[in-house]
Amino acid sequence: MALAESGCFALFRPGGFLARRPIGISPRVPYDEGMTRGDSRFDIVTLVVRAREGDIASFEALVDEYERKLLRFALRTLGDRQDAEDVVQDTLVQAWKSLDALAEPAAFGTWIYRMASNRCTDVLRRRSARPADASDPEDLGHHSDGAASVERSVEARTALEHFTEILQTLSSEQRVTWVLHQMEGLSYSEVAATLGISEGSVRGRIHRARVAIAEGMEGWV
Amino acid sequence: MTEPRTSAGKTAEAQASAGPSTGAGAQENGERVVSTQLTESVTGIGGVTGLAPGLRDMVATAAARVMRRPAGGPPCVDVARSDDGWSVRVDAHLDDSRSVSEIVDELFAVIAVDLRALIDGPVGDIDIDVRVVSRGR
Amino acid sequence: MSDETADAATGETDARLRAVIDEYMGAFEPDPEDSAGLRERILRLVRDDAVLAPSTRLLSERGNPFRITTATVREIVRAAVDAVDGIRARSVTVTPSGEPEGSTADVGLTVAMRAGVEFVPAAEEVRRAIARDLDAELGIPANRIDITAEDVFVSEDADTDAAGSRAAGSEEAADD
Repeated sequence: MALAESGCFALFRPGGFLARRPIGISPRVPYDEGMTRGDSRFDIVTLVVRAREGDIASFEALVDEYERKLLRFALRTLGDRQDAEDVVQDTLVQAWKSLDALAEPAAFGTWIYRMASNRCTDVLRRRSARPADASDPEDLGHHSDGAASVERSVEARTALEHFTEILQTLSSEQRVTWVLHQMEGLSYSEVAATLGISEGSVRGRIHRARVAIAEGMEGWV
Repeated sequence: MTEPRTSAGKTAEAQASAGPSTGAGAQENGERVVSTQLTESVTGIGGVTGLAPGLRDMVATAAARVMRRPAGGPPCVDVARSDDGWSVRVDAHLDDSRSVSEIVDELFAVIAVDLRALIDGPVGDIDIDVRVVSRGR
Repeated sequence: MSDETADAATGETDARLRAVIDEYMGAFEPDPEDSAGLRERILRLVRDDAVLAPSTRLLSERGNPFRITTATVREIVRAAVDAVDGIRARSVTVTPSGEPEGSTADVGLTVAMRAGVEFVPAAEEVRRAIARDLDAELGIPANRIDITAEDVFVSEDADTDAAGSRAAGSEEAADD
């Protein structure tokens, strides 16, 4: 058996033991945290570096971590299962193909949420261009167990259904921003990092969304 | 023009009766017969778990999709006759039962032997292009 | 109305809306079965894409030239490295070398190491493992193996560091 004749070793430890934390990424959003614990679960930088070199097993681990969260986010934003699944599928497949474009592997979570957010915005914009196709509050009855639509009479509409209608009146940008903040629980700075916009823009969108929701839900809560 | 020897196998008979016996059609027919035989031999090699679509297959599949026609059959060994001989392309999925090098060497040997057995007369240059696509457990 | 007052007023409404919002969120919990189907579709598309991946040109033991998807060669190296305790392979580069070219392989590797693992003996073990596996699994001798440790990870047992950083919650904004 031939052995390697030569080779060299180099030890580069930026920041010592703290180097395992995402380097140079600010702010640190909740979905970047979960993967850095434990010897058996690889840290996100290792997974991303390996995946972008063609390691499907590492990419599978990334999918396992993010697919469900992304799906829930897309469901909440779009209110439609098929649209949400399409967004998540397109986002993750595109992520596989363009991992090289991600400059900072530790920012994978932010990056993937940005791509999903952009796709959700596109879906919402396409819908508003075709009002007849806008999702029906009755879609809300299509729960994960496939139960039939919630029974609905013109007078006795629930606050939930009304709320869903109000959400549909928000602009695409407002809606995505508001869901990220209010439902995904991201701070203003985290939302800004995800969407690649200023914090000021985030504040503006959320403020306008809140006003619209407050006015729309007047008398319902 | 050298033609593949037809074997007693059903596939060869079907090919011989189905296609034209002269000209370009005969050449295609010949290539198909060789491809079928090589595919069988190659997939029988220890460590080869399957074939992947080659570039030609993928182009054909993409074209078929555009024209909404069903694509061709399962992936096979790509065979084409060249000016000075034959050109064979294999895109293979392997397992880890043997080293890649061992399997590659057997692929080369099997293809060379099969071509000589199938072809009447001189075979000419055999250009073999093997690509290992994946290696599983 | 100033921005602050407006936020305060709408903040109150948010509190009352909480129940509705929670109900809305609850309506969109993904079904595990649907989720599994989605996962399979994604991975199938990824595997199809991987068939088109770039290749590395090498020579077999008998000198037959062949190509192998670069991802597959990397996988052989990564498996060898990961088997060494406390070391995780990250980036792998395999370059054909030797005379004729492709008869040997030069390997470049970055790794993450578990805190407390001594680098030099671990790297030596990694080097032996790669040389052994390239020969046994690929059938190509390794000519050169360069290893760079670029990061350190802490295992769960000793993870007081991580617990401390989570408690600090350094990036949480307090502006709701």
